[in-house]
Amino acid sequence: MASLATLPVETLLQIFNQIPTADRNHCALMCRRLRGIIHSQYGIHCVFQVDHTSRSAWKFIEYLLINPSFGERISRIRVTWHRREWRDGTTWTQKWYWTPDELVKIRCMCDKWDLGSAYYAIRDGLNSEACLPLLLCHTTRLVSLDIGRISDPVVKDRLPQTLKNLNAIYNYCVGNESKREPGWERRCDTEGSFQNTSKMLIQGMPWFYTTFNPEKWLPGLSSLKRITFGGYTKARPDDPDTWPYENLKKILLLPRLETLRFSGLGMPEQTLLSDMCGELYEKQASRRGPIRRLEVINCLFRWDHYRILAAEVGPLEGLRLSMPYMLRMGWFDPIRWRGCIRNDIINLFLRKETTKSKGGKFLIERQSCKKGDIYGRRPEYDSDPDPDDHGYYSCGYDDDRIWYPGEPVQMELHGHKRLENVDVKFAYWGCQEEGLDGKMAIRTRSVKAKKPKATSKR
Amino acid sequence: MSQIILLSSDNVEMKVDKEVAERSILIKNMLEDVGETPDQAIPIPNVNEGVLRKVIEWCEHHRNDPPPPADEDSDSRKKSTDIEEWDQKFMQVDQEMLFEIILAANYLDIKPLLDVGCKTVANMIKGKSPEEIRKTFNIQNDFTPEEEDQIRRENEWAEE
Repeated sequence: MASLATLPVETLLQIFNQIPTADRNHCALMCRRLRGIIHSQYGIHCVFQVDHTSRSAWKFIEYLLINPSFGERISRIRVTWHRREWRDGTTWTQKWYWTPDELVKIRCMCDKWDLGSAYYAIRDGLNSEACLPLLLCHTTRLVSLDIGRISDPVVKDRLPQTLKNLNAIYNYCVGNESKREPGWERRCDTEGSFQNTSKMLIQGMPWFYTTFNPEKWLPGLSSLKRITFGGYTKARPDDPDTWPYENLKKILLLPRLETLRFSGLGMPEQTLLSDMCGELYEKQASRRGPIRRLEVINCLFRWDHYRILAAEVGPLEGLRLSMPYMLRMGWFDPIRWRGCIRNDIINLFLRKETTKSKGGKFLIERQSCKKGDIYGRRPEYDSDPDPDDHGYYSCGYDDDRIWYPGEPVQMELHGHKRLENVDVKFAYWGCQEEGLDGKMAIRTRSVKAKKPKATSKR
Repeated sequence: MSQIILLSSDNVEMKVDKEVAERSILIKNMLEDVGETPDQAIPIPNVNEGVLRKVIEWCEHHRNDPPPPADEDSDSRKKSTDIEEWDQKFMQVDQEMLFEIILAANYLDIKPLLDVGCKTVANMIKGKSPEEIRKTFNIQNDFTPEEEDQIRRENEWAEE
């Protein structure tokens, strides 16, 4: 008798390709055959919940220490962040305690993969983010990693530096008094126990940076094809809460990377990616595959940053750039910016196009200026079956942004099979753009004239 | 219009327009190999009368469809699980028949029909809880208690 469970594999895969991951996971719970097919085709898609009150991240590692084969079946990890809010006691995740045996195992793994600095944070049991490198030691077949918004501190809202606040949280986290470790007062004193490992684990180096070691990639990084990370979404060049830009340098070295997406990266004004990436060029020769899809969302990049990035990627199948409005203090020269979007940035990336690429999606856009608007992905991108979509860079409205009427709102390049056949759409408020650079015959047409809001006068 | 005869697995003969039968790539290739319209019935050993009639009904309705684009535009097709109205009605059959149609479309190599069938099943799965899926498709749970335990634990970190 014909039934779902007995359909041929290729037919089942055709069905599973059309349903979201969650539904697919449900099917994997049905019977051995479906579970086997789904896991061998898609691997396991996991969520790593940092500092969730269920302490699921700690349990995850605890389980992996006993069942390492589970890690080998994981193909995708999405990290979600549930930091403690100091005003809200219900978010104060309790401390995790390891058994001595477990600590020995963890120590061994950390030594093997040069994670010495992470070991202490893992042992302390307060910041589960520190377990992420350990997770990456187990996931030998990881394809996709979404780091999420990495930059929240362990206690959100910038923990007020009073001993009383720290005491309250620390006491709660470690349980009753008998469990307190010697010297805990001193640790609270300096906020040490709540240090954010993604930013400053030891000697000013974030784990993210130190664990990306091109000489010795963690198993979970060596086969990674897609990486996504969205930092502090109101990226400002001078904001200490933007994620450390050094990370980008290491990410660009990932040996098998094909899709790179990131948001909220603010470059300090003095920093040029080109200066930072000197070492990168030396390593370039050993890089395997080129990056084929790139999304740079709400990052404060200058022309030079785009230039360096463009040099790093291969012929693109997909490109998405979304530029923030940050125009303050001379950092962003609007005239220069306009020059960029008109010609240079697009050309930077398009120049690499070959006739081989087909049907790629190219999108360069300006954020919408509507109050309260959630910028980031547009709806058609949300329906993109690419599995890494989680709206990671949605964020609110920043009053400091200035709207310049007449500037391009968005620009789409799509359906191009060959360079000379690129169709460019512009959405302007009443102006028509000329062709790009004169090097490509590009048809332009004005789309929908969008009126800026009343609040956005020049 | 030349006609051919198809023979179902339960030995029922059906006369079909050649053009309609050629929606099946299997039959089309077979006829091309033979070179001329055969007088004898073509046996379809894997498909019984009821299912074959349904499949022919679909082929009749879609006889004038343009051939699917050779260039695999799988991206747009994958995304959408929209089914046109006639096909939706056509697929309103009991589950046994639905899966038989899918198997037949697979065997006879009728890609558009296979697509419609898979989309129909995908839509039946979407948004359901594991219990609902099990009930809908009447799937037997064949996990051992140990496996059950492992699945329950590992499911804690599964993407939802």
